[in-house]
Amino acid sequence: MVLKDNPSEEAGPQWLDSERGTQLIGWICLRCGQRGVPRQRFGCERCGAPGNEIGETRFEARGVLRSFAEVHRHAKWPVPFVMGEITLDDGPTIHAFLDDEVAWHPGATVVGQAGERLLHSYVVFTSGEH
Amino acid sequence: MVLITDLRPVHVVGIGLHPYQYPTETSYIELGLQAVREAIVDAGITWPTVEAAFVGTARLGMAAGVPMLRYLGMTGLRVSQVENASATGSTAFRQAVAEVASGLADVAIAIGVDKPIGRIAAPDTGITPISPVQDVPFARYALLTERYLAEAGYTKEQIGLVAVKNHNNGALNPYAQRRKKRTLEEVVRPPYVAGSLNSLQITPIGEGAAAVIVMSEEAMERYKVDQSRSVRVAASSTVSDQAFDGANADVALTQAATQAAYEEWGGDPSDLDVVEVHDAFAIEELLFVEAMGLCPPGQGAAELAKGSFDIGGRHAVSPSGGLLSMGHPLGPTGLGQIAEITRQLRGEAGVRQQPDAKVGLAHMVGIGPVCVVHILQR
Ligand SMILES: [Zn+2]
Repeated sequence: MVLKDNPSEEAGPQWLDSERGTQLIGWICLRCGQRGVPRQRFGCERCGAPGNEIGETRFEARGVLRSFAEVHRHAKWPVPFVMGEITLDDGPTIHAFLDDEVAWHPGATVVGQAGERLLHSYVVFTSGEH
Repeated sequence: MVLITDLRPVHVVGIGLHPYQYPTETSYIELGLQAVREAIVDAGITWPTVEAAFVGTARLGMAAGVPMLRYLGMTGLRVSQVENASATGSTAFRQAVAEVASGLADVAIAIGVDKPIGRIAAPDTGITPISPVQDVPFARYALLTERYLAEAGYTKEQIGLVAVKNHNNGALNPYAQRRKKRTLEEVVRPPYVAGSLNSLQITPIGEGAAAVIVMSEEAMERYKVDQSRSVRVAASSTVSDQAFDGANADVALTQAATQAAYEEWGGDPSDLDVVEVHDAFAIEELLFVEAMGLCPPGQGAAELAKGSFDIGGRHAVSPSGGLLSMGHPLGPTGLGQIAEITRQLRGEAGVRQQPDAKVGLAHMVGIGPVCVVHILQR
């Protein structure tokens, strides 16, 4: 899906809830078709098309866990928290927070949902296996 | 495209360092002056001989150069500030080499000096991230480490051996921030900073300074520089991120930059005696020695365990102790690599000496990502 009319120049939320579950909001180049997350309106990383040729697109917040790590030390934030490297079913590989109640293993199916981490709202991925 | 070595030859003639250390109250000016003065003495020249200075700092903020260099005597030399994240010092070196190669100067100095006091611009893009992993660099590398443990079949112990080697090298380096030999058990055991990363597998950020003086051959004659101690710049290459389609960008950049450097040098990686690698995290050395062609893909851990990358091995990798042990004060780091390679090629590295070292390669990656590679030859 391409939303050509980006309603806001503000950074805005990074995800939305739809009837299909949580979706990450990304960018798509209307010139070459390159897509990525998170969303941005600066220009295309592949062909250099300017911001007025960058539209919004959505990625299913669903993918495969490549690796994960519990973080035990941080200068500002309460620890521990768990981060994961996830390859989305729609293509891009991202780093995101993981549900810290799950015993994770590489290769696990993960799904994202709204959550709170470090006093902010982020997409947090939990197990997609039932 | 014109390469730096297509222009006139450039030689490293002087090196100087202030030891890398945990942050102190010492002024950056004192750190920087110590390195510059040591480099001037090492080159056997006087300060007014130097026509251009490239001052590499990543965390000091605006206008660090002239307020420091004035205490060497205000000669009116050209001063430029250079910043390129972790590759700052490497980029300052390239600028100094280009200044001399092009004929704009006969004598130039690259200086790296830093203290971790300023801010980092890279996360302030205005783009809201999916997660703030930029603010947790060791989480990024813990994820990378865990991925290679899972997908390439490395063991924690194989990765730990990188840290053991580099800590043992750094223990012999009077300029290193961490000067203590470590056992495998010490570098792999809990507590972990993130994932299974023990803090001895992560570079300590600190402060320090490094300086390198480069010269044309005409100037070496004119100033009667000891030619038996000079080291020629045989290649200089630098690349930034490209659309790599999902490949690990740091690895892809390393491949591209080293390949370009080998072509410029006209040699083969098997002929490298000394290699200084960007090992901010232990896993990186295994990835980069393979990307550079020091061993076949997938053989890095086995070659390391065999001693191929020890001092006295096939290629001495990070004989300085690398970023893991010598440290990573940012601005100086790439120049500290050039200093180590120069010392090695001169045969002046003492207990860290790689026997009969003739060619060395320096490699840094920085946030961007960017990658800078230099090859020096006796
Ligand atoms: Zn495009």
